[in-house]
Amino acid sequence: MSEKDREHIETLVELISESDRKAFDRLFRLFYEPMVRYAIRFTKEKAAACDVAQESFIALWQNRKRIDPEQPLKAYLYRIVRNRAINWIQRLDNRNEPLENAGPVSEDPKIHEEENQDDFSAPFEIWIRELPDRQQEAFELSRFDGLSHEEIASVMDLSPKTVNNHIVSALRTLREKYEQHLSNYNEG
Amino acid sequence: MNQKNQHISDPDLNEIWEKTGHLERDPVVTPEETERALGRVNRQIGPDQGRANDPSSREAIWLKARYLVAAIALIAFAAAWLFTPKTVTVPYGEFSTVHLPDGSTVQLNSGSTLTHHRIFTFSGREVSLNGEGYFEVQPGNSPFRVEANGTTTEVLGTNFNIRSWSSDPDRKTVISVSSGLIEFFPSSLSDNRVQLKPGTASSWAPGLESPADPDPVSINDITGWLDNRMVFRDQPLQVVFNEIERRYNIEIDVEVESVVSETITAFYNEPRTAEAILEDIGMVKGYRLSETSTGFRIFK
Repeated sequence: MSEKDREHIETLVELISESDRKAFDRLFRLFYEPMVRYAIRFTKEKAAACDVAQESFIALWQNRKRIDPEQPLKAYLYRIVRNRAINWIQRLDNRNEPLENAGPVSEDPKIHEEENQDDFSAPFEIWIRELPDRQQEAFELSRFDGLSHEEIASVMDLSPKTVNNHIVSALRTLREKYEQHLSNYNEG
Repeated sequence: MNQKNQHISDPDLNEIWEKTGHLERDPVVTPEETERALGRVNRQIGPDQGRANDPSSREAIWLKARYLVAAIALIAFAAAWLFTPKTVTVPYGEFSTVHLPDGSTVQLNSGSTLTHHRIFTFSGREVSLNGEGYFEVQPGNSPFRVEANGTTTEVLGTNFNIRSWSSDPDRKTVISVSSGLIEFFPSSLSDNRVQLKPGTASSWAPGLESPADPDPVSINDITGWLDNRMVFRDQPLQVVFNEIERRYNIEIDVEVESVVSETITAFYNEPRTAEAILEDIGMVKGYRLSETSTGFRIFK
């Protein structure tokens, strides 16, 4: 995420706090997809993730007057989605339904394609999916969603130091797998 | 996706960081799904959010704009109504009197049409006439004008009769004055005007440059229709038939075309039936008469 994007989002937040529906629409188009993706991490189900993301945007609009313009909106949005997604899982648990019954886990079809690509290309996607949950979450928010460590800390309710530890651990694991992959390739 | 790694000093880890930056993740929702979701969210939020507790919001401004548009529309409607001329058309077989806002009155012969503005006194006392009317004009600051089939009659305060039927064979307009002074001219040639004194009449028809010089006239004959009398002085039969059609609300089918251009002079001081008048004229002009469902047929 570039500095310009951040400024753009800040402008949108300002307009939304003034009840500008067009700004809200723009923000929705910008963040709906990443929010659904983030929610799937918890719900393991696309339909529920979509519900969670939409409810989060509605909550954002209803609280638009109370949004702190000093706080980064992205972190705020990710935090709403995370809390709601976790609530959804807990509601499911309370009904004593095992998570497996919630539907098939959404898997990216492209990942399977890339597994069969030429041997040298390192399957980082698979390795990332094999990371422990919290490491994976922190790493992806940092690497793909462009959140700062402070923002991730506020989203995941951790200290920035713990976030850093998660990310460094994730990178170490990925490096080990990568080196293993290279040596396998050279031997082969 | 070129986010700088923030707290990692290990160059090996940085290499991994860079490598993972090239990963492309397929979107989990399509743009179409996003639009549908946005539609759903917007429906749930509802269109009126924020209006009640935030009067300065855009919604509130739009609401004000809507009231403004409604107000303008109402004013425009009222103005349109005020400036839409009021038209009085007298049915065949009837007479009517129109009282104008300035106190002037117009008695209208059967089948006549009079049009005037609702804001009559402010718009300069103008009426238009197709048919026959006897005007009693109250003196006023502005001239009183009658537009009638290409003629203008201009007065200050006076009584006069205008006979101006667009159905007239010559489309002739005749002005006769009972009291006061009037000016009469073709509307398109306002320099070619004649002044008429009481007891005189003038006329104009399309194609003539100037109105006819004023001639003495019997006002009693001219205004005979006001007393339900019928007075024809050297009138073509077409004019007579038209008058009878309007006065008695009947249709006259003339099957002898040669008859209509002949002229006749006739006075009916007591009200008579249409049949009596037509039979009377038929005796002189040599046509026969038969009754139809709507009036009479005239044949040889």
